[in-house]
Amino acid sequence: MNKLLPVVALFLVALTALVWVGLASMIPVLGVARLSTQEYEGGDVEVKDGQVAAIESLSPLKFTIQPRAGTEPQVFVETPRSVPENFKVGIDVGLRGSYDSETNLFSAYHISTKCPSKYEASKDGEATDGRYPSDSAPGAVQKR
Amino acid sequence: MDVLQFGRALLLLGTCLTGLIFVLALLGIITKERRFVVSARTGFYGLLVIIGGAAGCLVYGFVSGQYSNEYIYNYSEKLLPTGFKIAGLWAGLDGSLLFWTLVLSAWSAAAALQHRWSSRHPTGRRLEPYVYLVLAVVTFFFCLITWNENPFSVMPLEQRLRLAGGHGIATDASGNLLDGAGLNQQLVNYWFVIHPPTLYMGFVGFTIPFAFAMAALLAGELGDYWIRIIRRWTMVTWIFLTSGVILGGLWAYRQLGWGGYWAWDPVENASFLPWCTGTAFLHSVMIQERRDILKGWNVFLILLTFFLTIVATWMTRSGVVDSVHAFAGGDIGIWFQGFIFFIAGVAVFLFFFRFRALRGTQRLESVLSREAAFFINNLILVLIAAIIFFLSFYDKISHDWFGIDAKNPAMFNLVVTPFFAVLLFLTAVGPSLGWVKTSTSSLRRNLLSPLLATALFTVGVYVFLDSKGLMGTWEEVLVPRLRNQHPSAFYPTGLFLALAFFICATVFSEFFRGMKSRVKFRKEDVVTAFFSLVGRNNRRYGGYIVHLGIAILTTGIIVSSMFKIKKEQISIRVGESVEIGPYVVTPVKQDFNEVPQAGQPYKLDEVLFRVTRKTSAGLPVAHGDADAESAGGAGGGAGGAGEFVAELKAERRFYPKSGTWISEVSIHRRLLEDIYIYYPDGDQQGNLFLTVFLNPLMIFIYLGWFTMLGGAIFAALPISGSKVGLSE
Repeated sequence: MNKLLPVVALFLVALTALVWVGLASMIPVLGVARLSTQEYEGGDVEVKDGQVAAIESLSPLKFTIQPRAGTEPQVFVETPRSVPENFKVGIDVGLRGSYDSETNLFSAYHISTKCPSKYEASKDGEATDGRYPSDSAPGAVQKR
Repeated sequence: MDVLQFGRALLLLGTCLTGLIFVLALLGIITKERRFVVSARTGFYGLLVIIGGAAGCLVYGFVSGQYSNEYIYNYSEKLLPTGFKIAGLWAGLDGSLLFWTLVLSAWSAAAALQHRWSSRHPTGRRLEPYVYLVLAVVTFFFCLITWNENPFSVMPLEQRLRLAGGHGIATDASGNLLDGAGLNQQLVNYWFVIHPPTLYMGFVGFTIPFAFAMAALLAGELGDYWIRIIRRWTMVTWIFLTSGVILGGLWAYRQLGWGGYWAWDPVENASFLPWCTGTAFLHSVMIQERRDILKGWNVFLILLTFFLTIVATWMTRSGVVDSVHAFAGGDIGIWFQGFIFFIAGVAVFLFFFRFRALRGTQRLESVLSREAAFFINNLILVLIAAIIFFLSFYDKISHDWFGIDAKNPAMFNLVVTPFFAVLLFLTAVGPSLGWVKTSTSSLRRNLLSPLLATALFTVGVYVFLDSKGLMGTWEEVLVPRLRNQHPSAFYPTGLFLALAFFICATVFSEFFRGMKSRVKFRKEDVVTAFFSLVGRNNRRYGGYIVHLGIAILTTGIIVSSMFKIKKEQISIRVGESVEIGPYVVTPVKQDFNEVPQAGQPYKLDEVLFRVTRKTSAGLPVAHGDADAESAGGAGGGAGGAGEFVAELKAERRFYPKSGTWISEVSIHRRLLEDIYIYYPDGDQQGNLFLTVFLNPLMIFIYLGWFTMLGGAIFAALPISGSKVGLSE
């Protein structure tokens, strides 16, 4: 087995180098509340604990997020990506992009939604279509 | 007693029976009396019947609509097709644990059945009670947590009436609910019926090799017998696991509308971890058989693989890692943690207790040998599993332990991809290496033709893709691009395609050399030479076919992800067109059913698309912010309609009960590419918002999978060598 030691050592050196390169190019992961504080210094950032608060338009996709726990602060989001599956008001979203604190605008180049394996019925029993923007009623699609 | 109460009673009976099997196996070990062992064996058959009965009761509850049961209420409804009602068994945590226990009972009964023959062998007879002892412990654990989670629980009357009032669900005179909340709409497709059972068969199947390894450690029977027995078990389990992993990716491709199939999500990673170590074992077991080395390593690998299946289950069901798949949490995590520590503790103790007996009789002679290549392959597979495991927990560890909130989304591809490249290289070179030692002249002779063929194939495929407009620029293909989290950001695509072709070339070379030798020395014709070659050594040539499948799969993955053409946020009306690669996509008709059709729990918004080949004539084009992202030079300008290619129906469904829209992508599969339309939304002005993909060589992923399956099944067939458990 001693004959394989140089090979093993080579793998470990390569792994260390790759991990080092990866760690050197990390981006911060911040909650919605911490985006607007001094902790964000510009550049790419990943937003966690964001929940869709309102949808302004679907094409281009523009919406507002808020922290999962609470309604403030709210951050406006724009993205060139398409509407992800299961996207609606109240759903958790993961975002990657950059934030402009002056306009409170998050420009996302990556968006993902949770894919719940467990279906939970709405507590009040009412069917609500959170997908549509507030200025276009759910019934709108029925008129087509 | 109603049927669900009966099911719970059966589960209790099954739990007690596992305890009885444990006692019988223990008595068999202590007294060495066969009657105890044979009784324990019969106990596993009974356990399968009992747990099968319990699962059958729950399925009956689903099919007959017993919605007062909390689990059935949450995962079914009246209008759900029967197939999905049956699949409700594994739709949620509680039922999936019962299903897991059922699969485990079936595997255990199969292992018990095998002992009818293998107990004729003296070593097999000595190992048998120990195998049952271990299987009884694992089965007991799963019976216990299923009992604790209780998929048979009936909601109290007060809760039922509250749900009935809140959701407008009818009840009968006794207050029983007459409808359920419904299955998560994203699960209502046929992939949900086939993917989880396949994956479970793979995960749970590794319990059998684990039981044999532990039995060998407990009994001190660490010769070749147990390893020969579990080789075929592992192969069969590996087939299920491989299929489960690939089916999961194909389900994501079909359902989630992002045009991809793998995103390094912790739940995906969890299924891949035991695959890596299981694959490593299938290779290292050959070294022990041929050279009697790596005995301890083999025990370690099989213990690790089982450990990883339990860890993977814990990862996906405890909520310990943040995943896009939000599995229900609860207190189940602590049960799994306890079980993981228990099995790890016992296994590590036994491993070191028997450490001296695990030393082989021979040693590695040369780095230029097949066993060295296999061992390096093993190291890489274990390293890949370790990297993926660590990175899956990285966010949690860095946040919880070190207070660091930072990540590199590209980390998986950056770190793992080079090791995959080395693995592919070894897969190609391995068959050309001989056991013990290979001379450089022999290696050169074996590899020269495959290397030349690889160079020719690589150039040929590039020229072909270029002629189809799918390749992009040479710079894009050959020069690393440091711009996104895709592997192409760091590593040249051409390297991986060349390695895939290299594997194909060496496999064909192996077949060719074997046949040539038979034709020359045995005077056989080519057809006879082929069949006698593979028939006499199905394990070896089945393995080569698996390698061929891996090469095809790799090609599909590389080409479909690197040369993908994507157009996002297309805003288009009926009659307008959008170009994608050489095609023009035109929505020609939209139908919206305001009222759910009979037998369907959803309203349907369906758009019919016509796909034609591009010509120079103009058509009305899509407007809005169409964002073209292309590796192959897709234009965004006007195009005309030419030769008809296909009609596709993309749809989205509105489920009134949950107020949820779900999109169903439409895919037209061609030999060289998939035309993929995702229709997530529209507006009241008649604009349809689309994403259209052109994914090349997706069919290679299916072809690669089928080839791997065919090769593995062929290798597992008992057509050459001795019968399991007897003369082995």
